[in-house]
Amino acid sequence: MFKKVSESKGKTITIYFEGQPLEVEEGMTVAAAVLGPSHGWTRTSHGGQKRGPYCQMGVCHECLMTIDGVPNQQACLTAVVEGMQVFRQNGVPDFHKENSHE
Amino acid sequence: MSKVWDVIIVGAGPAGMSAAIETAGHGLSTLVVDRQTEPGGQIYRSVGSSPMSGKLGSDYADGLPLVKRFLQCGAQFEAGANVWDIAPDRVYYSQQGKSQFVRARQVLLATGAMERPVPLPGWTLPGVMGSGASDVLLKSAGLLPEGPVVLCGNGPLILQAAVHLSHFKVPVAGVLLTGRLGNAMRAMKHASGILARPGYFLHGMNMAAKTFLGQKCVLGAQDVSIRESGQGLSVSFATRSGKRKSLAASTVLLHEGVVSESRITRLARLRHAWDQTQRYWHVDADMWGQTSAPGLRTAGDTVTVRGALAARAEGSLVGLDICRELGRLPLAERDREARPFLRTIRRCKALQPFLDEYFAPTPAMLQPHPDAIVCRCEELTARDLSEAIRGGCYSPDGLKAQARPGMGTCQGRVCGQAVVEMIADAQGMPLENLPLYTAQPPLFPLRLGELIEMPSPSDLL
Repeated sequence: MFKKVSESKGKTITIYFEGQPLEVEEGMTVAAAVLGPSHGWTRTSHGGQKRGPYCQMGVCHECLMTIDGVPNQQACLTAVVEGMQVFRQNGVPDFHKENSHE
Repeated sequence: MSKVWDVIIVGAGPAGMSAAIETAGHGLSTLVVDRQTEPGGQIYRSVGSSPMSGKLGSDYADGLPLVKRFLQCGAQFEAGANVWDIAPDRVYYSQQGKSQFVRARQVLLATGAMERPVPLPGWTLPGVMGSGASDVLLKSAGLLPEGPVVLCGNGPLILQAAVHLSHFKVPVAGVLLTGRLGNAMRAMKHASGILARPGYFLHGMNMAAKTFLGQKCVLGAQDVSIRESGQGLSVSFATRSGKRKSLAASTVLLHEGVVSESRITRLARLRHAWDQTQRYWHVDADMWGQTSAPGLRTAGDTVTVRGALAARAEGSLVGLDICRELGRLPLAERDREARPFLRTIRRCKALQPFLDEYFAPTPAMLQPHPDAIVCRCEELTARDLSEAIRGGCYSPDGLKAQARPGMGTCQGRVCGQAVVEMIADAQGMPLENLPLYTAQPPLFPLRLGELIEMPSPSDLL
């Protein structure tokens, strides 16, 4: 759906999207890094609709994902880090899960 | 006693960086916080590290020397710092999941602007995003849609997106221009402003010519809706003669102009003004950025959307006046140093009425179709909200209490303006009588644990 038109000079790191390894460039945001493999949807609304990042600048909150176990992270404001675990967030996130540090 | 900064600047875009260069340059301790990972704001997004630097023309490349000067000016820069409350001497922010507050003698809010969200049926589908958002992906990550792309909207950024897409040979199925044809006539009243910035005007004309000659353009498209179709999307619209047409796309980029992101200035309870031509609320400030609250200043697109050149000059002016206020610059010196920036602002102000009229939003576009989801977070359609409005609702806050728009995670940033337009239309009220939702702290959702862990003021005294 989106393609690279220019390679960055930065080094490549590995993150995991839904458990699958993904080679991405350092310095990218999570929202940009998972755009392709997510087919543009990175969460579902509480009514179950597929949603993806809309504004890419921290306004719309459509890019909320679970990053390294913490739900409700704005993927468009978070830079990728080696080994990062990124998951889609479905419906309303389970806050109990976060509080019990599972 | 915790440190008191001379100046805290919220936002490291063109205005914030320019102000910091002045204040730090004149020896004031300066802290700059920004929620992005790098300085630059949106117009110069990632310009220091971008794979696209040097490939997007001077509008973008001009940001690089500014970012370099900013990083060397002596101001402390905190990236990934998201401000969630503001008081005249105090700024609260969250960084890496931890919150703290910092104190300052002067605070400058330079948080910029956002694309005006205009709800239409299907705009929540994956594959639909802001045209500015696509531009951010291009600048920060070198990404462009594979196409076919449908561009839809009104504003200079639509032309810029069309030029970028064709430059990188991305197939464009069509450019739906939603501005009114009468806009050009109305703009001609202000045509003398063109003389103030002929180069900029010609640059715009060049982009328009490339778009009209190189792409399939539809002038005066209306009643736009998007639906899923097979593997992709289908964009349906009405032409001026009322004929319905549709275009297939894999990505749809929407843009209805740029408006001030006034949530932080409303939270600070500053006086605001309504822009009738471009239809948005923005903070009211004088040429030195002084707002209705002493010690709280603003600059750049937060005050009035005029673009990067004006924002840089305004930031510099505000920076200089902060230096005067805090005793670093005598009045006469401030005025002398301000001269080139004042000239730039005068030129930008002269052209702005022309641009505002030419790209004025179309009122019909701002009245969402009943099927359009207006509040994306709470999944409320225009039909849901109309029912509540007709039941007797005269303010955005009232509607929020009755029907829940603006109660989700974005806290009304996306639906706020649409709700104002809907209430004004249904109740026959003037728009300037309808303020946006009341902004409350925290400015974005925070974990309760983060608030509890925050050092309390008594720990710091």
